[in-house]
Formats: sequence, structure tokens, C-alpha cells
Amino acid sequence: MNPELIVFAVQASIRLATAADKAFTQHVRDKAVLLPDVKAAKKAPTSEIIEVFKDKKHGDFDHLILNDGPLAPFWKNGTVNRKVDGALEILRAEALQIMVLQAPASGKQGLSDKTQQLAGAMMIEQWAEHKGPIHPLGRMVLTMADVALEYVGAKPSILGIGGNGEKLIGAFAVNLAVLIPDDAEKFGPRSQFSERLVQIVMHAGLKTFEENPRLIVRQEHLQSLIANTLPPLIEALPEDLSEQSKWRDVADALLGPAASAAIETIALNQKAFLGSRFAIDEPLGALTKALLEQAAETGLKDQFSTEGYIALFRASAGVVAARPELFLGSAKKDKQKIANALLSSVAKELQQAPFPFDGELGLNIAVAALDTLQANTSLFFDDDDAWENVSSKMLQQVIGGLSQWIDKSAWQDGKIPLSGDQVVELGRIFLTQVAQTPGMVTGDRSELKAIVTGMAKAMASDEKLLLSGDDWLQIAAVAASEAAANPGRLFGLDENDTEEAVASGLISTLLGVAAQSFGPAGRDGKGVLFGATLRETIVLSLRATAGNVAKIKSSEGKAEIKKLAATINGIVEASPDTYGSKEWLRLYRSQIGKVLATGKFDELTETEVIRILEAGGS
Amino acid sequence: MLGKIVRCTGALIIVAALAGCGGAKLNSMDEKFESLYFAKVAGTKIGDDLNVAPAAFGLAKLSKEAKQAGDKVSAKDWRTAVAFYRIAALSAWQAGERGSQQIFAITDKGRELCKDRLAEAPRDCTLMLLIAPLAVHDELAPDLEPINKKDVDSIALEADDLATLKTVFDDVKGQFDKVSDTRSVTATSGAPQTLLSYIDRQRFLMFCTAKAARDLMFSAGDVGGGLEGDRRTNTLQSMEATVAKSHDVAACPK
Repeated sequence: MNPELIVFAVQASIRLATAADKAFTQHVRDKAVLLPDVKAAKKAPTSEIIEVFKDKKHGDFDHLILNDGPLAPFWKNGTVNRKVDGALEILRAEALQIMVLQAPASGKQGLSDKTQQLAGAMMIEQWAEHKGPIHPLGRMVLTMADVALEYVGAKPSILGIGGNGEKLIGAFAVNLAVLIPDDAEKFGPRSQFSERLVQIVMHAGLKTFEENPRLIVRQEHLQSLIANTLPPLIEALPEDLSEQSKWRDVADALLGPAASAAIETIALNQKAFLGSRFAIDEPLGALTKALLEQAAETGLKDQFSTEGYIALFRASAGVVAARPELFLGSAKKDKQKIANALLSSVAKELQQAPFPFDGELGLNIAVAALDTLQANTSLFFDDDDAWENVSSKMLQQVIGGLSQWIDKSAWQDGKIPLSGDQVVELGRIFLTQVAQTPGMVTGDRSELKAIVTGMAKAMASDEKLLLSGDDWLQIAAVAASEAAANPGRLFGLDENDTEEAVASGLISTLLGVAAQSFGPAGRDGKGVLFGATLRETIVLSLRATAGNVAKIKSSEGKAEIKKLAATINGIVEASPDTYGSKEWLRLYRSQIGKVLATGKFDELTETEVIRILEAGGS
Repeated sequence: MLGKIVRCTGALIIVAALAGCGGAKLNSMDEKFESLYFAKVAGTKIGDDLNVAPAAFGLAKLSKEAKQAGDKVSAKDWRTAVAFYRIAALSAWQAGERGSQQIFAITDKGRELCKDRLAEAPRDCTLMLLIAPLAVHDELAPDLEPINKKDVDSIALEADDLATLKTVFDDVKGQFDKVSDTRSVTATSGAPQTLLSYIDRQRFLMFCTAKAARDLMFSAGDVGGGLEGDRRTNTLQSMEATVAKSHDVAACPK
């Protein structure tokens, strides 16, 4: 990893995360604020009198107040003669009359505007028109430029002419109008969220192209992806503040990686565009929204990690890429509903799953189920069936079966010989078989669960851990394959089948013999029925039994198998210098067919043993 | 590796952003100021000090909080600091005697931050120059009320009343001039026209106060308005010439 890139990634992240806060602060700082008026003193009662007779604002009316004027008794020494009763009122009435008659219309402001008088305040913005901060459109462009500049510094070629970075910026530019919500002028919550999403997706896109310089993608597909992803997310921003906070958190955590995955999916499926009338960028947008909604509902840390969510998204995107037309929806189900159902049905199954399948382990099996769906799309899609629920149905049956063996105490106490990855692989083995025989899960069938449950019970009987995780995976592969090819023989056809599955009984029997042989003496006991030998014995038995179960269904039949294995054990243990694992298997192979055919095991004589071994074969 | 670093950084940033949130705090203080101001106006209309006091108390408290918030960010974001000081000064002004003592301390800080950069936050920096004279006016104007009442009741004004009237007139004129000086500076700063209208309006109201003082002085003519009254009449005429450009000078509040 280039250290410069790390530094720049950190710097860019800081800038991206603080950009919205800065813009919001700027908006609040500059928005109109309330400024109160001063409290002017009331007019003096003599105000109009002084205006008319002293200040002579409306002409000279001295003839009224001086000498023998009609108002002279009420005027003295340049003011109202207070010693005369009613002087103030009489002069005021005369002054007002003069003012009304003389005053021209001024056309200027006074405080006659009732609104102003009532409010006693004004709302004032920070800036004059066109002199303040930039328009929402410009703000968005600056946001994009800010992110792009970071990448230019680190890798100039990414934004070169015809480069993927240029296509991405072009794709955003074309969509600017739809990315700016109605509340942008007021820098409302949707506007803030929109800018944040643009930053996140652009950052993710440039990062993806930087890390995968060979990706080839056309601008029109990026355009369509952005148009189908961001506006619905912006639109879906809840009104409630706490919900908004949740929605922002999931966008911060998941949108970047999801956008990256979506771009990669588009780039890696260019052929799909050429040969299909259906674009995958539209359903990918719906899927992104479904992912964020699911994460907002489930929580970012409560059940799955970010990586887990993105793995689920990638697997779902794979299904989109394989059959985009299935996501286009219909009159009954729109594309968003389909995308929601695909993800939410899986998430719901995992929420209900017992430990340890309720977390990352279950999620990885879910990813395997989606991969199976993707790789075998045509097999699962039935017009009458809700195909988007198939993966959750498979998941439910696999987890339901495995949890018969892998429960909380067994897992935590280390009694399961499989690692987490091996458990997922085990699930994948069963799912692969389902892909080849989809009838196992269509409709109400639960054959898959019956097989997984049967195998789980068999595995649970290996109390002495005679087989490793890898051994079990090989056995499971054979069991699943034979069960798929021979329905109802080795395992039941229904999860409610109470009768013990033939395969489970057979494996348990052989494990019982092995445990006895590998008793307290362990390797000193000179037995060979463990590990690879035991695994091959079980595989041999399953293959041989798959189409011939009649004689060993009963307890007597199983007793004969037990007798056979115990006898061979005795022969091998008695002559450790002569007989080993290879001989054990040769003898077993030579006899198992007969036991299955007759339901009886005839004792082996020494001569017979020698003859079988001398005859050779594998 | 890179993804992890970005995620970790993102987590730190979210924590930091939650701790900071200057915009959100400013917004909430703006809203609080408005609601307290309207509560005070409503209380004043009812006319009972019991209705005004809680709002005034709240405004004084808000003033302190806003000043502290401004002090906190002044070193790294002067514009936001001035915005906080704007709220602090407006609240102190509207808190009346509970807050007016703080006004100069607040606006001095704002003026220092705005020095030579009025055009970078024209409204808020203008207010750092404007609020103190407006607040001083509001302390002076109520002094006219008892004298006005006496005059309405035709009770002879006394020498003390005349002295008060002179003081109010001269001091209001002093604040009027400060507001006029501020207007001259603001007019070229990129401030909105509404701010200039607001300043004009405040000048008009200050003129009304000065006019009321001067008019009352004539009623006190018996106790020696004389030449001083004439001098103030000339002063009032120059004030009137200024405010008449934007307002009908006959429309002072009754």
C-alpha cells in the first residue's frame, strides 16, 4: 500500500465528513435573523402643536396664535398657556387639522405599517442578493471538485481524458439537477444529506477506479447507476431527527462500499449490456436502497459487520447481474419491492436463526445461498414462485439442519471439528447440490433440510472427533450428491420424517465401531479405523448404499454392518505387521456389497482374507 | 488496510462532529432568542412585569451562553464566533437591565474579530457596531415616560425634568450619530438592503425619541428652555433631514 495514498485517504475522509457540517454552519450563520427595534419614546402631547406653530412645518400660522389671533389666549411665551383650561386640547385639535389639510402625500415610510408595528422587529439576512455564499448547484460542484482534487494529487491519471474518473464526474454532472432536492436553497436536511451522499459515492467510485485501473465502464451506465441510486435515498430520508441520524449512519458506513461493489458489478458485466435489453444499473440502485433500509432497521453493529452487509450486497448484486430482467418488476411488484424482499427475507431468516448462525456465520451461508441462486438462476425461476425468496428458503433449511448439531454449547465448547469457514463450506456443499436439483426446495418441499439434518445428526455422533473438518466436508459432499441423485434413500424427503435417516444410522454405526477400536489405548491399540480410513469407509458405504437401502434400514441390518467393520478391525489389529489401512478398505469394499444385498455378514476365514487381499484392487 | 483506516477515521470524525456541531448550536440559539424575544414582547403587551421577567431572565442567560460559545470558537472560526456574539449582544440588549452591562464586553470582542473584514460577514459585523448604540437608546427613552405623563396631565415640569430632557436629547443624538456612522460603513460592505432599511428605521425611531425630548423641553419653557431649546431645535432639524430620506417624520409612535 502506497503510504501517500493512506495519508490522502485520511485527509479526504476528514474533509468529506466535515464538509456538510461546515456548509450547515455557514447556512445558519448567514440565514435571516430577527433584529428588534429600539423602543422609541412616545410623542410629547405638544408634538403637533410645536410642529405647526413653533417649527412652522406646514406654513406660517402666527396670525392664529399672536396678537388678536383666535388662538392667542391659549399661547404664551412660545408654548401652550397651561393656565387656560383646555388650551392643550384646543391647540392640538387646530394643529392636527392644519397638518391634515396641508400635508402632501410623502410616499415615505413611517410606522403606519401595522405589520411592522406589531412585529417591532425585522428579519435580516447576512448578505445582499448575489453577494452571499454560493448557490446549491455551485455548492454541489464544489463538493465534487473537492473530492476529485484529492485524487488528482494522489493519482493524476485517474482524471485524465477518457479515464474512468472523468466518466464518473461526467455521470454526476449529468445528474446534478436530480441530486439537488427542493430544500437546497434553505440547506435543509435533504440538501445536506444529498451533498454527503455525492461525496461518499464519488469518493467510493474514484477509489474503486484507482484500485482497479483495468476496469472498463461506460459513462452512461454510471449515469444510470447514480440516477437510480441517490435520488431514492435522498427522497427516503425520514422526517424524524433520530431516524435521520440512523439513516445517515448507515449511509456513512455502507453507501461507499456498496457503490464500489455496484460499479465493479457493472464493469465486470459489460457483456450483459451488449447482449441484453435490460440494464443492471437500475436494479442495483433499488438494491442499494434496500441494503440501507435493512441496515437501518437491523442496526449497524447489532447483528452484522459492515463487511457482512457488503458481502450480502455483492452476492445480491451478482443475482442482479445474472438476471436483471427479474428486477424490473411488474404491476404487482415493483423493482424496489423485489430488491427489498431479496435482502429482507435473508436478513429475517438470520435474525431468527439460533446462535451461532445469527451473525457473520449465518450471513456467509446466506451469501453462499445467493451465489447459488446467481449461478443457477434459470433453474430457480418459476413464474408461480416468488423467486426472490428462494435464497432465504435455502438458507432456512441449511441453518435449520446444521443447528441440530451446531448449537451454542457445542460451538463454544469446541466440540465441533469444523472452523467457521468450514461450516460455511459445508453449507455451500449442500447448496451446490440444490442448484443441481432445485426441486429439493421448490414449493413447500424441505428435502434439503432433511438431508442437512441427517448429516448433522451423523456428525454429532462423532463424539471422539475421529474425523477432521476436511474429512466431514468430503463425506458431506458425497452424501449430498448421492442424496440428490437418489431421493428418499439415504435421507428422508421431508424434515418431519421421524424415522432415522439410513445415512445417519450407517455413519453412526461405523463411528461407533471406530470409537471402540480407537478406545482408551488410542494409536497403541493398533486400529486403523479413524481419519482418512474412516472417511473412505463412510464414503464407500454411502455410495454403495445410496441405491440399495432395503436390507440395512432395520437395526438388524445395521448390526450386520457393525459386525463387518468390527471383524475387519479385529483382523487388522491382530496382524499390524501385515495389514494396515489399505487392507482394511479392500476387505470392507469386498464385503459391503454382499451385506447390502443379503442383509447378512458371513464371517471371513483367514484363507478368504488372503484371497481377497492377493486379488488386489484398490 | 486503506478501508480500515478510512473507517476508523470516519468513526473519529463522527465522534468529533457530534462533540462540535457549531452550526446546530448556533441554530438552536437563534431559535431560542426568537422565542424569548416574542415571549418578552407578549409579556410587555400584557403589561405585567411578571410576564416579562422570565423572558428577560432567559435572554440574559442565553447571552452568557452565546458569549461563551463565541469565545470557544473565536480562534478557529471567527465568522461563527461573531454569529454567537451577535446572539449574545442581541440577547443582552433585549434582557434590559439584566443584560445591558455585558453588551460592550461582547461587542468589543466582535469588533476586534471584524476589524478590517466587515465585508466578510457584513450583517453580523455591522451589528457589532450597531447594537450598543441601540441598547443605550433603549436605556434613555424610558426616562421620558414620567415627564410625558406629567405634561399630558398638565402638571408643570420642573428644573430636574428639563435637565433629564436635555440629557436624553443629547445622548440620543450621540447614539444617532454612531448609528449614522455605522450606516455609512455598512452601505459599501455587501450588506443586504434590508439591513440598511433596518438601520434607517432605528435612526427614525431614535429621532422620534429626540423629538419627544425636544418637544417636552418647550413645555418646560418656564424653567429655562430658552436658547438651549433653539439649539436643540437646529440639531433636531439636521436629524430630521437625515431620517426624512427614508421615513415620514410625522409618523412617530403615539
